Amino acid sequence: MIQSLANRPSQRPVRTEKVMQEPSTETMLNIQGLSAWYGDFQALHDISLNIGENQVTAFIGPSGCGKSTLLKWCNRMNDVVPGASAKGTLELPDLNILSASTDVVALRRRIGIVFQKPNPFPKSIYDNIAFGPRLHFKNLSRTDLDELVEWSLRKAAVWDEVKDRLRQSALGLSGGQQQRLCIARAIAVGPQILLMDEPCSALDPASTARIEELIFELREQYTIVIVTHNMQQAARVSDQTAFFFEGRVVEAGSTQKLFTNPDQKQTEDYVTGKFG
Amino acid sequence: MNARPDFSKFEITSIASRKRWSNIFLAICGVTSTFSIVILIVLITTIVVSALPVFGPHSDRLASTGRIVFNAQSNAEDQSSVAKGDLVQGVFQPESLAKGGLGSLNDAVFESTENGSPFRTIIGFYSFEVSDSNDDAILEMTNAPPSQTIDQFLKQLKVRSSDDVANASLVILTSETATLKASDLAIDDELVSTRVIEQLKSVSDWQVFLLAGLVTPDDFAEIRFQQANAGNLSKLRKTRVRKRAGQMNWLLSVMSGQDSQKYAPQKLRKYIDDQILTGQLKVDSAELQGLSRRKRKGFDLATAFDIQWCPVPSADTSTIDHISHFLTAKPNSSDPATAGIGPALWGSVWACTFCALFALPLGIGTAVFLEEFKPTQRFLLFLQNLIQLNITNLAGVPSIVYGILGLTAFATMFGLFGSDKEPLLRFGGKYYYQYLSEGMHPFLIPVDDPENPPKLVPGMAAEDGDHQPIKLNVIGVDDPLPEDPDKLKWTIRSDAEGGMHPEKPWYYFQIPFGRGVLAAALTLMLVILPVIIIASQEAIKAVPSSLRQGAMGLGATRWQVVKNVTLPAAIPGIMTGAILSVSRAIGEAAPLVVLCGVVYISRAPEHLMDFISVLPIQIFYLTGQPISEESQINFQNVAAAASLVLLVVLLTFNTVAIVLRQLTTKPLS
Repeated sequence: MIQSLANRPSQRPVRTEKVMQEPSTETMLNIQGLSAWYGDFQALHDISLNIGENQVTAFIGPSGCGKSTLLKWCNRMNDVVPGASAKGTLELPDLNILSASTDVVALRRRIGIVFQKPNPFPKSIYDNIAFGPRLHFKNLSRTDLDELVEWSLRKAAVWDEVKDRLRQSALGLSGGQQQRLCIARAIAVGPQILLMDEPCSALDPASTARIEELIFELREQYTIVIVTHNMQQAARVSDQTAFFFEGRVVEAGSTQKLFTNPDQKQTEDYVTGKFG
Repeated sequence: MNARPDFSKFEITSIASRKRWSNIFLAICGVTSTFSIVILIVLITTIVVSALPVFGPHSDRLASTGRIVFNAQSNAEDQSSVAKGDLVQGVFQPESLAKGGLGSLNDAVFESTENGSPFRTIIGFYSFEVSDSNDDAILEMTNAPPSQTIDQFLKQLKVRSSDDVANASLVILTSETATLKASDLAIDDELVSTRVIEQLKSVSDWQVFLLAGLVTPDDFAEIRFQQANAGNLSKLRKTRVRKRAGQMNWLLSVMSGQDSQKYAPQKLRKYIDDQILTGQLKVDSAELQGLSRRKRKGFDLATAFDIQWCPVPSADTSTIDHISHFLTAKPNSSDPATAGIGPALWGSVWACTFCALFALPLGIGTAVFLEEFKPTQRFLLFLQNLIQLNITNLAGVPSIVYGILGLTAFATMFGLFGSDKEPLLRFGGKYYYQYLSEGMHPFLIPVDDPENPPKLVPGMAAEDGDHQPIKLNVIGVDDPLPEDPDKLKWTIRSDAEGGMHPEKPWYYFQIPFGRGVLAAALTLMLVILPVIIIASQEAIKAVPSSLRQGAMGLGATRWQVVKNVTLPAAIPGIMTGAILSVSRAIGEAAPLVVLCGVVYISRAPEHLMDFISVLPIQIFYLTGQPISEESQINFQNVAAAASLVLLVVLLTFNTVAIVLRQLTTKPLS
């Protein structure tokens, strides 16, 4: 059953191959002893994880287990949440993310985020993509920007669908297109890490499949952290998986192992759908 | 676990009864909305119907559609062809009436109704402005007994201010000036002046005095006004009768029949020939018996002469003329037919424009601060919540309270910075002292300190009425006047006294602000600020937070999020709030009644510290005027017309705002 989940016959044969690869040893995101609170409620208890470079790491677990909290601390999106606080180590190779002196604006350029619900700005497709570059890059020539927009859209596999209507509202796109647009928008500022908070939960299966393909391709250049409730999706797209339960990491390791031969009974129950 | 409940035992609520309630509800809503529509229609119809006479084609609206006729009796001793006690009739010259305003020449012609036309007297009625007090002075004739001669009548010509300040009346003319023979018009001007001074001494706060005296036998006898400062009566010492340039105008001129043929302006004579002699004049002998009866028709004249309005319907004046007259003319406290709302309209435009200019950035800024820049520290958050609570409560404060606040904080600034008359700081105004030269030409001497009159010394800088530099010739008190008229023109005695004459450009500024445009705009800003803030906050709250997070996730700073995402998305809602609040500001009367108070403002504001009246105040006072059953137009009609204009102004503001809103939220096609 578990076997079949991870290695089930796929339309994407490449996929299976990749999963078999040895995980990269380079640590991109180092999490040690991280605890987080919303007011008095402790959402994360002493989390320790290593997110490998150029790998897809999936966070799975039931609702309210702290996956999204961890994700949001990764680029300090929780800064604006009243009462949110965190303690512990959360660092890039060269940057302590939680340090008060960390410039969150620069941080968020390096760690992009894609949200659960597609949230294109009510602007044109072009302006959506150009939004980030315009914020961050000075001396951006018209040509540079055009190239950057095209590159991002191509990278997010949405170029062919929108190239003829770049000046039209992004709100006119379908949900799946919008989400890919949001991914394109996130990579347009050149991040190292992409955080994805249930990127497919609002999408239909076809769109989901396209996004998954996209994540798979993006892995070449980006470190990706994806939160998902979809076991199959986690199994399909990720190299590493961490199973969260009630603010703790129950088990973390290679996706294949976690889905086929988990150490913890709780993990097995969850991935097989016995609870959660 | 549990047995399925037996649903069949429940009685089904009858569909009809449920529908009945919804039908009743619908009926109530329908009646209410129909009622509101009816109310609205009735309201607008009432206003329009009531306002129509003002705009509509009526006879006694503009001067060119009729003329004012009044009756008098001639002094036969001075006239060969008119017997003593003969009825004469005066007619206003319509063209000059139509011009209105400062400097217009409103003449009347006396005509003998019994013996043809050899006797004519032109009396000019002049409603003039005293610029410092923003008051109109109105020439008034006293209630004279029917037997009175023109000679005596002239003695009792009165000047009073339009706001009926006690003791503001002056009996001015003497019999000397009323001599009707042209050759006998020579009078001792010093004597006249002395008399006038005597009379002025009993009046404490009057700002006008008379220049009376003599001209050559070939000229008309003229009596003129000159503005001067209150209580400074010694200025009259230098009075002369001459034609005086500038803003002064004829008050009265008297001439004999022969002279009228010789000197009357060409068009006046033509008018006499065309209109009077062809018998279109109306003479009402019954009215003549009650000569002292005062009728508020035409000009504000209480006169021994019965004033009649003789309409002459004319194709020349259209509704457009009436409307433009109404929109531009000064308010008139005596004649609804000629009253306009020009100054109040401009006042509303000024006040609301500046109010919006101040209130919108401030209000939107505050809303953004409260919504988008919530501090994380508990104490600061508490402070911000306190501000929020205050703003919510301020929205409900009665606006008249803001009027008191504006009066204290803006107009007088708690009395910390001097008074309105002597402000601590003035900027931009130019001050002159105005003199009348021995050659009877007014000229100006610029001064730095408006409180201190300059000392007249030879060679000092001076300007004529057009601000061209002149060469002033200062002579001693007892020195003989120069013979050369060119030299006499700019000759002044060193002890001459002048009056202060300020010239304030549009950027004139002072602290404290005084009861002017700026104080009014700031007070209105206070009134509408809470509304703008709350509406903007709601609009900002309505922007989905996913958009903010998206922008933040891309590395936008708080301000960039606001500028690029939140504000563009919230602008339509913000604009809606702004429209509502500026509309409220336009219609707001209460705070400005406290703040500005002055109702009779005869000109549009010229600078930010200038006096101001606004449409709602104008309407408020118009409705309080007495109703005359005789007249075709009452002040209530004028008030309705002003309300209509207010509505149109409101619609215009709203339209502009809506267009702006549409432009700012141009949909991406």
